[in-house]
Amino acid sequence: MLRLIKVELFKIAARPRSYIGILAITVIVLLIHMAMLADGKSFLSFIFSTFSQTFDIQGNILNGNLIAFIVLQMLVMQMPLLIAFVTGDIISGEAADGTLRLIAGRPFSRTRIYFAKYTASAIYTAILTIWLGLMALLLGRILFGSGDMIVLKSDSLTVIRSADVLWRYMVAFGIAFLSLLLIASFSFCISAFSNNSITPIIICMGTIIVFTIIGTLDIPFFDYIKPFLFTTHMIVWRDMFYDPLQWQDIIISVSIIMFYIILFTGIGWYHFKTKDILI
Amino acid sequence: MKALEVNNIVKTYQHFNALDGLSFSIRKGEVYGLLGPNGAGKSTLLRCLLTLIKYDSGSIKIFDKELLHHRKSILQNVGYLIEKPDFYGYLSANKNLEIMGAYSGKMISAKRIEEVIEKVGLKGREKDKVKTYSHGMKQRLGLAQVILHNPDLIILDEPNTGLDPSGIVDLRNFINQLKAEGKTVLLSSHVLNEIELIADSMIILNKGKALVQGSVQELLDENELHVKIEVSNLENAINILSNTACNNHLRTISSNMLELTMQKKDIAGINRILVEKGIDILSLNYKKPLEELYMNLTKTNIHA
Repeated sequence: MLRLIKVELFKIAARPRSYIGILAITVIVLLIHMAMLADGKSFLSFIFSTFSQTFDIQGNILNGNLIAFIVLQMLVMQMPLLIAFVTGDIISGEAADGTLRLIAGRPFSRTRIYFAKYTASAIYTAILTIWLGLMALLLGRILFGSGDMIVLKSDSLTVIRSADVLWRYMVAFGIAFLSLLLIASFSFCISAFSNNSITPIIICMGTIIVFTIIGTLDIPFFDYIKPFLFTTHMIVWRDMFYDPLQWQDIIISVSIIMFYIILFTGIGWYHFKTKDILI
Repeated sequence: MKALEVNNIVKTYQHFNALDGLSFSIRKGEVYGLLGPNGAGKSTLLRCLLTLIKYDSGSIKIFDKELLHHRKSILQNVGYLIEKPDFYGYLSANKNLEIMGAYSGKMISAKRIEEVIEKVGLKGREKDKVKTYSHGMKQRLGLAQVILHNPDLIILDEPNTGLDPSGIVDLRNFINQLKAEGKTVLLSSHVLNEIELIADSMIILNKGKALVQGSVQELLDENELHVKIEVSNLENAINILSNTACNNHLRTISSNMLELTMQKKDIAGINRILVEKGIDILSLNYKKPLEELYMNLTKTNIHA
């Protein structure tokens, strides 16, 4: 199994499209950092202007911790696309290229092949998440320094002590990883059904867009649906930066994310295991 | 010992029987030809043998083991090239073979990869990306991955498609070499001449059923040929032939050409009789025996 995972990782590493995600994250995060270096203070003054009469904000609130938060907020819609772009192609791309029949008639069972590819996809997702963390938080701290972190909610403001920031980020990145793994599992599942590369990416992104729109519309009918949409729970990483921490809500959302990961992985696996490879 | 035994295998797609109770067997060490028109069930059969497709009923035994119960150990000993040779175009031939080696379930050394690269004539191009290869080169790489893990049963589906004449000769030599090494080869092809030249036994499929199967030589010997003979004196020739046993479907084609139906083994005798009676034979020709057999069988069945 390890040998197959290595092979699958090698295949991902050898494809130019795998680096698009890393490149995109690098460019976007660098641009945000540059913009903040150039004009960050006036940007924050504008953001916090409504609170200036209520609070006396002293010291430099423009630090790496806050910028990492802004970066994560901005990338929440792009990251799934970058993930699906690679993971949605892993099975369907091989089916389209004809290489799936080259490996599916080998001694390894379909289950092993599926999970070797899935594990490689999960590792790719983890690498992308770690890269995002390094670029957003580490580079942010190097450029802007550390300090207390002020987070704005629609109607409130949370101050997180500097000593508390790092562990919260670690948990937040862990949750973000699970959310992205959900996307990877979803696109991977569709990939098992498809014989071309584009379909899984389109279905995956279409679903996220539709679910996100439903999630943001304040229509009572949608309130019944929202708790079942995986996109509702994918943004729970933000809750790590609010006080007091609502652990129960976070755990419920993480459990729902994990449920969907298992569901999509299971459906994809069952289909891949039983399907006829005709191409 | 039988290398492959297919018993009453059935595969249905919705209401269409791709394989309809097909049975045949291949002896170890022989080259077995698989023939049939498009849609006859050849590709479905080959995919069933590799578990790419699940069959509905029947059984497949490879080297005396039930395929579905001993899939892993059986497929470790099978090499295959199905349809066109598709590879990871963004990788070199070497890297592709490393991947295939990993998937073969055996430890494949760099030296072995070098050996097979040399054997198929890709030495010097092994580090180039496969997307830069011609079809013929990809076909060679396809053959390299077939033999990479030294399998005993080799399944080739239309391996000569798109090859130039020298490539076809190389392929023929390659298969003959495999046979000399004691490998069993199941060869599906539309090129009847190749099957006639290479195969020991064969099967002709149509609509998922076997129309005929057995030793190539015996089948061809039994088959009747339409032989056209150009002679110096047509009238005399017809008179002479009418009085022989070989007067089956004797008819005139033109002012100096006649046609009659006979088995291949009788051609020499007819030739001798005519010459002894003072008739010059200006030309004698017939369709390739396998082509004749194939056309007769498939035409009859398609019309039926």
